[in-house]
This record gives sequence, C-alpha cells and structure tokens, in this order.
Amino acid sequence: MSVPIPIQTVPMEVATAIFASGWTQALRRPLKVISRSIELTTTQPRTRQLSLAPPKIQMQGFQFPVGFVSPVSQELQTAKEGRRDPVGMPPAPPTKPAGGKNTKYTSITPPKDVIKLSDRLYYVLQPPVENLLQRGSIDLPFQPFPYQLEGVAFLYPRHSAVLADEMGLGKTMQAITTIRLLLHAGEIRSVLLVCPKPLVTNWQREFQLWAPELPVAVIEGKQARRQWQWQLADIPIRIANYELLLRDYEDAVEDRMSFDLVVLDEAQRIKNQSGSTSQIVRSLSRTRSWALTGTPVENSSDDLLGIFEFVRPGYLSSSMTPRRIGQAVADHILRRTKENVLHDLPPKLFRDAQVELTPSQRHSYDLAEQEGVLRLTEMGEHAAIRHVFELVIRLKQICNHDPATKASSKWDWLRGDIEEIAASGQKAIIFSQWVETLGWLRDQLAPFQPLEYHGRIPSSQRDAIVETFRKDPRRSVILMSYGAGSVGLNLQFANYVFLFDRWWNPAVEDQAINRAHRIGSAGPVTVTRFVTLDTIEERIEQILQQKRQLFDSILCHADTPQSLGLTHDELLGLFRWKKPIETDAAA
Amino acid sequence: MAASDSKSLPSLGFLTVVQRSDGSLVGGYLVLSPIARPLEFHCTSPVEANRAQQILYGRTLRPYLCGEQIGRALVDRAQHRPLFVCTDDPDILPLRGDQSPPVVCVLGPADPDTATDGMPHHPSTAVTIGAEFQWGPYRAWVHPQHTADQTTLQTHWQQHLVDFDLCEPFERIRQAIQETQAG
Repeated sequence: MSVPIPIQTVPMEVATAIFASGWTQALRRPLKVISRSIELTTTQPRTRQLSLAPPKIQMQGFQFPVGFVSPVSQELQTAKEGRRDPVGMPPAPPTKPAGGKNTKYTSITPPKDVIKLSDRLYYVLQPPVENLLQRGSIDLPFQPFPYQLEGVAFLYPRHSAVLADEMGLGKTMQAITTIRLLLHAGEIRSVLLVCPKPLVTNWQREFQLWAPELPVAVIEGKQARRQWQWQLADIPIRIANYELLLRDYEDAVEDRMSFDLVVLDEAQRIKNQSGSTSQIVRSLSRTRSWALTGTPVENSSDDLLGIFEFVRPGYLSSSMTPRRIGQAVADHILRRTKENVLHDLPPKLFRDAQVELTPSQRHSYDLAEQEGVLRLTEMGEHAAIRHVFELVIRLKQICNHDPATKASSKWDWLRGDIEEIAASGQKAIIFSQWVETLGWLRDQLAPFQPLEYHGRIPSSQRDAIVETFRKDPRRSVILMSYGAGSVGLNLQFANYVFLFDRWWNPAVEDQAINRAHRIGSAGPVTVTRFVTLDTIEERIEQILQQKRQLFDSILCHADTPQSLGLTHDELLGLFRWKKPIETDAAA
Repeated sequence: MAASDSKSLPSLGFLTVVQRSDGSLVGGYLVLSPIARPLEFHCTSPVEANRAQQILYGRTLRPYLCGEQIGRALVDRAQHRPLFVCTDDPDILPLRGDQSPPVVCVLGPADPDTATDGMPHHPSTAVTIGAEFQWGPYRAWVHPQHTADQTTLQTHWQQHLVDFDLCEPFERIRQAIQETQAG
C-alpha cells in the first residue's frame, strides 16, 4: 500500500489592475489548452506469502505402571484415614520441608547397566527419596542422615548391589527403609533376609523400629514349624540365619520358593565360593540380590569375587586385576566411612599399648619358641602348616599371660585402666580371640563383675547380657570374643575398647571396634591395641598393615598385589626357620 | 495384591519447556499420582520457529510455541486427564482452552525467604498475561480469561497438595529431557 502525499492549500488572492498599454488586448485573449495522453502501466504488483503454519512437533511418550496396591499400603492408608493406627508411634518430623530455597533432594538415578530409555526414565522420574517417604506417609522414628538417604537411593533401583558402609553407619536402617519403600510401591512382594544367627533378633528389632507395619516372619524352631513358616502366605519378609537356610534348603526352599529380593547380611560369609553356604544362597531363586557387609575384602580380592557370584553371577573373574575389579564394581558398591560422612561423630582415638613381656613371660616365651622351632626342624618335611599354626597360637597365648606363672604385662596395664573406667561410671569392651583368655580375664576382673559374650554363651541369653551391660551401672566391663561380638551389636554406650590380643584380619578388628564407635556414640571412643614387643604379635602386626592396603586398593582403584593374606610362607616366615619342602597351601 | 487402574486415580500434570543452547525449545510433560509417582511422561523433539514466525509473532512467539503448540500437543497426547496442569513457565498459560483442565503457573513460594532457586523464569510476562493469586505458599497465576480456575485450584490444594513441593517435579522433567536428548 502506498503512502499518501500530504497536500497543503495556500490562498492566492492577489490584487491586480490593468494599465493602458499595447499589451492589454493580448491579455484579453483566451488561453489555448493543448492536451496530451500518457498511458499508464497496468503491471500487477508482486506479492510474497510467508508461511505461518504451526511447527511440526514430534513427540515420544512413556507410560509407567502405577504398581500394585499391596496390603501393606492399604493398611497404611486405612491408618491414615484415622480408623486405626498400626504404627502406634509418635509421628516423626517431616523428612524434609516441602520446597524452599535450600531444599536438597536425594534423587534416584538409574544404574549404569539399565540401558533401555523407558527403564532409565522410570527411575529418573521417580520422586526423590524424601518425597517417597513423605508423600507415601512412611514415618521414620528418627530423621535419617543425608548419606543414609543416599544409600536408600542407591539400593532402590538396583537389582545387584553391595552396601559396604563402614560398620556403624546404619546399613540395617538403609536396607530396611528401602525394602519398605519397594514393598509400598509394589515393586517387590517377597523378601528373604539371611543373617548370622546372633543377629536375627537384632534384625527383628530393627524392622519393628524402622518398618513397624511390615509383617516379618523369623524362621526358627523345630523342622515342622519351620516348614510351615517357609510356606506362610502373605508374609512379605522372612528372616533366616545361614545355618537354618542350609538345613531347610532342600526340603522347604529349593524349587518351591522364589523371592523378589534376597538380602545377605554380613555377606563376607560367602566369600568362599566353594563353601556350602555360598552355593546354597547362590542357588536361591531371586530377582534382586543385595549384600550388606562392612568388609567386602577381608584377605584378598577373591573375597569380593565370592560376594559378586551371589550379587551378579559371572560378572567378575579371578583373572581381573584389582584395578579392573574396582572399576567394574564401582556402580554396584556403595562404600562410605565415618570420616566421609559423619563429621560430627566423636573421634576414635587409637592407643597402641606396646608392652614388654614380664621376665617370667619372656622366659616362657623364649623357651616355647626355641622348643617349637626345634620341633619343626626335627619334623623336617613332615612338618605341616598346622604345626606352625599351633606354635603361633601357643606363643600368642603366652603373650596374653604365662600359663605357668599367671604373669601378664597386658593385664598389669589393663587393670589400671579398668579401675579408672569403672570408677568414672564408663563402659569398656575387652576383645580376645580365645574364650580361655576371656575366662582368665573374668577371674582377674571379678571385682568388676564382668559380663561375658562369646561362643559358649547360649544365644538365648545374649540379648539379656547386652541389655544388662547397657542398663546396669555396676557392670562396667564386657568380655567378648571376636567371633561372637564383632558383628551386628550396637554398643555405642561404651567409650573404651581393648583389643587384648590381635585378630588375624584387620577388618574383623574394625568390626569389633565399631560396636562402640557408631551412630549414637556419646563421646570419643578410645581403642587400646595391645602388642607385646619383640614377639610374634609384633610380626603379625606388620602383616595386618599390609592387609589394610589391599582393602584400600580395591575400593580406591589402585594397583596392588592380588592377595596379601597370611600366606603359608608368611606364616612360616614368622620364625627364623625355613621349611625344607615346597608348599602351595595358604593359611 | 490387586492391580490398580491408574486412570481412575486423580492425577496431576506438570509441564515445562526447556530452551536449548541453539534456541530451540523442548517440552516435557509429566503426569503424577497424588503421591508424586510418575504415571506417564511425554516430551517433544526440539521445536524451532522459522524466520517469518520470529518476525511476525514478535513478543507473542514464545507463548504461541510453548502454550498453544508444544503444551497443547503434549497434554492432548497424554492418556490421563489431570486435575490441573502446573507449569513454571508463564508462557505456557495460553495452553488453557475451554476444554482443557485448569492451567496454573507457580513461581515459587510467596515468602521470599523460602523462594526456590531457579524460579521464577519469566516473572514479568506472568504478571502481564496472568491473574495472580496465592496458592498455598506459592505465588501463582492463571489465564486472565479463566480466573474462576482459582477456586478450583484452591480446592485441589486442600485435597491433594498440602505439603507438596510443586517445584520439585520440574527438576525431574528437566532430568528426563536431558536423558532423552542424550539417548
């Protein structure tokens, strides 16, 4: 369209007059008008059309199953509506405030082995753990630590997982909360939890605390009762100890039961792949496999291979280097230490009590060592590793106390400490690997009425012993064996731990120490590690240090020798004696 | 255990648009159950206006693309009809039509001390094209021609949304879009 030209009109009325002259006639003649035609062009103006069609939109869509409404969920909904309260507990504070500037959520991320886009999106689009708990009306008795919610987010999407947190960080709570969420979501319906026998009641108690609405069946009692317990319908969670599982497997489990999730507690139990325990748990029909352990590597990387044969069969091989193993398992293992996550946890103070043997102990020790080495030499090629082992044990026991004179430099040290601890109303745990040594200590500590917790104490009495230790202010000392007392117990009210003698494996020592140094510890935990100088204990201590390096190497992806266990040669090397034949066995 | 028919459950729609580095837009629409679990998710491929649209739509281009094109296509594609569609982008408000569910734009809690990072995206636009109201702890806007939606939304808040963090699902959508783009 053209723009109109503006026109302005100006009045031109100017006064005129005609004067008499020769021109005036000419002015009276009319004007002659000559016209000329100009042809206009008739060309059509050019136009251009711009497309305003809506953009073509391509889409992809994904539908997600809403899951099943489990009886558990229905029960909870009923309670929420005010008809009844199955939980019977005061409401916990909300897990997280809704929204807000500083809201940090713990998102569930898909494992790397989930390839299909729809499966990955299923996990990406799940609510954060905080919302799963809050919107699902899942009350918790205590506010979880952020790292515990991360543990839940780790376990939730995984079918193959090892939760390898250091002892005391709450692996039990993380596993139970995740199981609870999965059951409420209808993603799993049947769970088998397998744990060492002494921990069954602990798990039962923890389920009552962290998931009180979930029905739990403990497999126990006589065979007929156990058969009935295995076959019970509508029981989402079964707890069995390893020994019972081995006993019942053929009659009640094999070919009859299938589980959506099998959880192994203290999973280092299955590190030996050829062991019957490992074979039985590996043959359980299951969809998800989780292993809980604070010590996935105790002696060598083979330990981890054993655990992964359950968690993800065939995934690792013995030909892999520790670095390669570390890379392969990175997405399947979650390992945190207290130093990583619990910045507010009281410190753990180590005190190496390096003591000299008393003169009479030294005399007995030297005599026993000389006799032992002489005997090994005389046996020549008939000497077996068990003969060496017997000598080691005999010498270690003399380091504890001389059987002949009852002299003990460790006891001389320990007595003063215990007197002080008892006088101040504190609690101490004393660990030894021998029940005989614990018995001897019991006699020495008689004025302090020490409690005992070891393999010769019936399981039925153990919970009561722990409760007495916890509540009775007059009982300041408990004597524990590494075997019975190193796993699953919560003794965070004790501030002192004594390792009267040293275990062969630092991981077991750590477990023992962490009975006291864990969440809920009221103050610093002082750990006293006894080592008698210039004895076999000092030589073993050096090997323990090397084992710690192995653990770090796999979980930190560093190169290291395949095994740093106490090998045959190392055991022989504890003495100034060389076996005259080639050996290939390992201790 | 009984399987649930998800379509019989009330559902909540969350819709946002992500602008890529090349200027194109990707829409994502997440339908949640009242306990915040995902029921369905739809997303678009990158959408880009041509030069003519950029010139001729001017400032109205983004609301046209986000609300009328991307948003409507996503909502129409979904199998669930949600109680409402919540967005964190005011340019999606034009999605609201006579047949569509209420569309509400939330721009973070009204209390500045609890304002959520990353929101609002376009507060000035929202103020000009929407009718503001207080929705729970949030400042919210509806389309000015559908101010009656506010009453409906207030009812939904009381029934389904108390203590619901309305900002959180948008982060899930962005993560999911990132996942689809990476794939």
